[in-house]
Amino acid sequence: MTEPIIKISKVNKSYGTGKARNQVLYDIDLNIKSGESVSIVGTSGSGKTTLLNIIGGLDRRYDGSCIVNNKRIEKMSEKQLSRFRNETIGFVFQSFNLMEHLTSWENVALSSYFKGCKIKGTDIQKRAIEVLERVELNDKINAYPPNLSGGQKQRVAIARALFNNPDILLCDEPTGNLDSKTGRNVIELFHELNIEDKITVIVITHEERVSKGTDRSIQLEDGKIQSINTKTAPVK
Amino acid sequence: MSLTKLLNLVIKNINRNSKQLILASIGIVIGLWAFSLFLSFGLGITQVVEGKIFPWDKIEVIPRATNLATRRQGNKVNEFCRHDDFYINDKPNGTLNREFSLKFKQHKHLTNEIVKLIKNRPEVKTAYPKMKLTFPAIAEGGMDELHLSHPLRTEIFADGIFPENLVQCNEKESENDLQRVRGERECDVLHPYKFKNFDEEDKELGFCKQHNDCKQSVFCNLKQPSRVWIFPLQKPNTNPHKHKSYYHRCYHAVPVLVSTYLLELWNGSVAPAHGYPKISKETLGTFLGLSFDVHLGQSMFSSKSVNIKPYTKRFQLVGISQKAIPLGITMPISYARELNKHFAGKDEAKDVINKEKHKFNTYSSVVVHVNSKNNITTFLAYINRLGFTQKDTNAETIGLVILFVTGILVFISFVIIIIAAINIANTYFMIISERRREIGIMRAIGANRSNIRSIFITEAAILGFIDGILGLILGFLTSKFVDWIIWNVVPDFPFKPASAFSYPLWLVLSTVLFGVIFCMFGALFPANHASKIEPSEALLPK
Repeated sequence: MTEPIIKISKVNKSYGTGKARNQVLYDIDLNIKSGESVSIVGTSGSGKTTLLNIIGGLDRRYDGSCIVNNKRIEKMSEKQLSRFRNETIGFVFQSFNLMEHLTSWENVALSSYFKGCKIKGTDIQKRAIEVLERVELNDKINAYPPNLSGGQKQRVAIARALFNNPDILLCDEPTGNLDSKTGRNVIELFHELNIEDKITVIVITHEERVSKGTDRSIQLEDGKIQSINTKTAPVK
Repeated sequence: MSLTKLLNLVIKNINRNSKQLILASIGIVIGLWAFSLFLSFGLGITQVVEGKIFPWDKIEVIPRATNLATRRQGNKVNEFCRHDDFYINDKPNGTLNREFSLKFKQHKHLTNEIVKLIKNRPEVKTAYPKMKLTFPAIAEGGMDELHLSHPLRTEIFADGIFPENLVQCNEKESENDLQRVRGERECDVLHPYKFKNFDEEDKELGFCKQHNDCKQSVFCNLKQPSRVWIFPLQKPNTNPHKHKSYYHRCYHAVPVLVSTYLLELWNGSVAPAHGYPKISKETLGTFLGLSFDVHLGQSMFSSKSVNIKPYTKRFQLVGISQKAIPLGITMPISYARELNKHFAGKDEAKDVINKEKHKFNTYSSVVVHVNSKNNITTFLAYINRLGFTQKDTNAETIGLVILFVTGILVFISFVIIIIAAINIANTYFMIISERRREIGIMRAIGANRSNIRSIFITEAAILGFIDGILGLILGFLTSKFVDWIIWNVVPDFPFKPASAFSYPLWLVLSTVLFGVIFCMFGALFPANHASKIEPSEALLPK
């Protein structure tokens, strides 16, 4: 049996202090295997994004332990965490979050700017084009985001997430701003990446058809895991 | 993050926020404009003062007004013996040689030996002695040459210098020299004039009763009744007494120089006030060769003049030189010596009394040009040890005043720049709040805190660089405009410079550098703030 790539145990997260304290996650225990696709579903405010941020190393102010790729998130230094996000994780957001003043390929290659090692400019561009081809955007390499459709924007965002060959792809409602047809295409792309490239995909979604397509679907409610629906063999 | 990538990203960011940044930069540009303009003005004026009015490298060594003229103590000599600077004659009895003893004596007068000592100093580039006229004199003339209704009459000061210390140009050199701008001219005496003692040549000249009897540019010594010549008999057979006639000798006028300083005063103040023509390249011919009478031994100020009977001599202006006495005329030193001797106090036997001998035996001052500014102190200490001092020119006081005024102006421009830097900070806080989400994305894809900080600080540095260059260009254009006004609108004034501004390389570089530093300083706090934004919070929907 494959070792879990993500091991979350007894994770509690709250915002504010004293009377204003608002706990969003309660004793979360969760293991995710490498190459698995997982969807997190739940109502708004149930703590889905918070959980995703913790896994992605965007938030380390929590109690409990979160081990991703054998690294304890809460123990990492600021620099280690930045490197971890750069090399291990790929983020895809609902609102695409592209830099509007950069072309598609520049957006894709942005993460290379923050890499510790030196890479040649031509290699960067080559890799960016390669990834854009992977998401079928060969003809939009030099296009600026305002000239792209919603689906194309999200593909650029996915290409950006894939640029550094991440182990884990974290997607926060990736189809939320897309029409159902485009959304379906995007989900198919995630599916391909998961199956063909063996990338662990974690998707936050409201859509049932998205959650049904993943190996497991985790239902969060008020910061607690309500249920885990497994399509195939369970992990736990 | 490599520099090229950083610059690539930053330039795109600047492009995007160009309008906001242009507005924020206006203050910095204005501040740097003022900074470069004020500082270059201060430097320009200092250059005029140090270069033309009181040259920094020129020191006039003069005897002290009161001189105790004491010998140094023996132990002092021993103390100095160890110094490499001095040479001790290696005689068995340890007698010091003449040069050495000269160096350790406090001197009262500037003799030839002292001049030689000064010339041999390592700090000294050139040195030449001067001899002041020690009696009063009045100059009168210029009526015909300047087309005046009455002659110009003025009390004059005069001194003498060695002709070999001047550059006397031949015809070709003179022509070339006139093509140069005023400050760069090298000839002190232009062709065909000569600055020398004509006494020997005068002996060859003939006799006269009026100026016309003498050849061109030679004058009849009309006003020297003390020298009456009895012309030799034209008809040998006639009674000589019958034909006795008073004749004068033809003689060359005493060649004199006036200073560029005097020329500036003439052009800037005297000529405009009295309606006289200015001395320029075109009118120089009118002024050179201008001859005038000098009533030696007379003064306009006091009726009590010297005991010796005054007499009149013709003087002729032969050149304009920086080596001439600032206010007065400069003649060959042999004339000055001769005249001083003539007017020196004499005893009953008509011999010059001892205490008056220094008036024509020694020099009144030695003009020294030092090699570098750093050597001035050493040199002044040296002449002080010899018992001399430096002629006070007030250059230091004026220099301080200029420095003070420039300092205040530069301070004002700094205040503008600091306020502008605060404005930059404010703009960056706005920009950062607008780009909050972007910062979150960059953090999410691997940017660390220092990456975020350097993006904003580099952005500000580039902005500062552009602002610095803009400020400099504006300053430069303004200075050109002010120079144009000075030359074309403002009436002439003494020492009117070709440019009142100076832009040395360090000023250019420091203006740009200040732009960069202050913009970076303005962006520092916002950038720090941006780097501390938690990515999870930055990515929250607005």
